[in-house]
Formats: sequence, structure tokens, C-alpha cells
Amino acid sequence: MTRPSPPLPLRRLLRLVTPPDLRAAIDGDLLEEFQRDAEDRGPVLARRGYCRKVCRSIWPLLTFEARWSDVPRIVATTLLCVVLVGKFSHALGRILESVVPGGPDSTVTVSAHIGIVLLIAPAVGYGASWLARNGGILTCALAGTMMVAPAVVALPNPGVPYWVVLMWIAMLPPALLAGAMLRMRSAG
Amino acid sequence: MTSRATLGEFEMLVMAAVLRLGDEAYGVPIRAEILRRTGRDVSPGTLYKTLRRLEDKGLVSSVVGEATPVRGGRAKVYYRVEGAGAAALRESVTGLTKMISGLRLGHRSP
Repeated sequence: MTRPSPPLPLRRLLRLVTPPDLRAAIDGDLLEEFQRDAEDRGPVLARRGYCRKVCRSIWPLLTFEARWSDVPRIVATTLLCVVLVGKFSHALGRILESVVPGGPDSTVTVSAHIGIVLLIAPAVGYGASWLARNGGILTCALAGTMMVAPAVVALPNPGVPYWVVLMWIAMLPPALLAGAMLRMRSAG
Repeated sequence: MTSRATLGEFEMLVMAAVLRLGDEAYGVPIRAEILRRTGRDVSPGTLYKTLRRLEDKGLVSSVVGEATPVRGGRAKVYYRVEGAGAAALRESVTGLTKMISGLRLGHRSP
């Protein structure tokens, strides 16, 4: 017989709002109480109790002072990403300028296959960056990409604007950087 | 005037619960103890936020304990009241007692 388990989306939500260093303690406490409630009162009431506790915990955890201790690091990372995107876009722009007649004012006709790759690459990057913390984000990123991809890839009749191609490609390095930092943070 | 940390009402409850539980003071029993003695059903978020604040003030310390299958392999975090914490609790309770002594609060005599 399998053990009852609390609602997965709520558990993920809790993990998302909990500061990393307290995640194991709070998640473990709620699981322990859930298992005890499931034995005493049944899985339905246990799940209801779990939902109530998570909902009541969201606001205190969101306003946890510990969350804001990372602000300087987040600002530094963001600035680094902006610089990285700028440099990478510039370099790509130079390459595209030499390849595409007309330069930045032109449009790039992207085949459906390349378009899909261009769209999925950043999403996979972002998804991978969040995978260490929350697998749901990967799903959302891929789902979002799948919804947006056909619309953008349908554009090649007049051609995909030059800046769209640049933007999508340039998003990949900061995503991977953010992923590496998050992994380091969750490991430490 | 004292230079010691002053405690809020809920901080006093949490510290008293940690003291009562001794070596078994981690999230689940602390919340259960507060519920049993005061009737207050505290959310885990509120409890851990308060514990972190007390820890930052140097009034309690924490140590990571064992992980159990019932906790999904998550480790417990045990809390202990430090000397400064016990002194702050004593001072806060004394101050509160002095403030309310002699007041008519409308309690019914048993």
C-alpha cells in the first residue's frame, strides 16, 4: 500500500516561497504532520490540514527578512547578466551584419526548424536554471515556449525581425549563468 | 534601562516552549506545545520566522538533526535556548508581571 502524500502543487509552492536554508526543516515538519494526520484522521482531512498550513505560511515566509539578505547578490547578478547580454548581442550583431544584407534594419528569414530551436534554447536554459529548485518552472517555461513558438515562427513570411533573433539567442548565457549560481547556492 | 534584548509576546511563548521541550525542541513539537498550552494554532512560517529572529539576536541556537522517512528524508532542526535567551525571557516575564500586577483584568475567580 502506498503512503498518502500531500498535494504536490502546494508542496512546490511552499518550497518556492521558503528561504533555501529553512526549506528542509519546514517541508519536513509539514510532511511529518501530514503523515500523522493521515493516520489519525484520514488522507482527506490530512490534505485539507496541509493546505491550510501552507496557505497560512505563505505570507510570513514571503515577508521573511532572511529573503532580502540576498538582494545585493541578486542586483550584482542582474547587472552582470545585462552586461553579458549586451556584449553577446553586440558580438552576434556584428556576425549577423556581415551575413545578412541590410544589417540591423533588415529582417531575417528563419526556417521553422531554426525558429523552434531559437525559441526553445532560452526556455531550456531558464528551465535548467530553475530545475535545482523547482521542476514546475521547467514545465512552465517549455509550455510557454510551445505556445509562443508557432506564433513567432509563423512570422517568417515577412521575416523575423532582426532584434527578435538577437534577443532570443542572447537570453541563453544569462540563463545558464543564473542556473549555475542557483545550483551553487542550493549546494552551499 | 537595560541593554538586553526585549521579547515580544509570541517570542516569549516560543522560547518557553523550547525550554519546556528540552532536547526534543524542533518545529512540530514546538507548535504542538504552543497549541496545547495556549490554544494558538501557529503556522510553520510564523514559527520559523520567529525562531530565526531569536537566533539572529543570539537568544536561541539551532543544530541540524536526523532525517527520518516520515519527513520525506528532510532533517529536523533542533533549537536550544541560550543563556542570554533565558535571561531575556526572565526579564521580559518579570517586566510583564510587574506591569499587570494589581490590574483588574476581569478574570473570574476559580
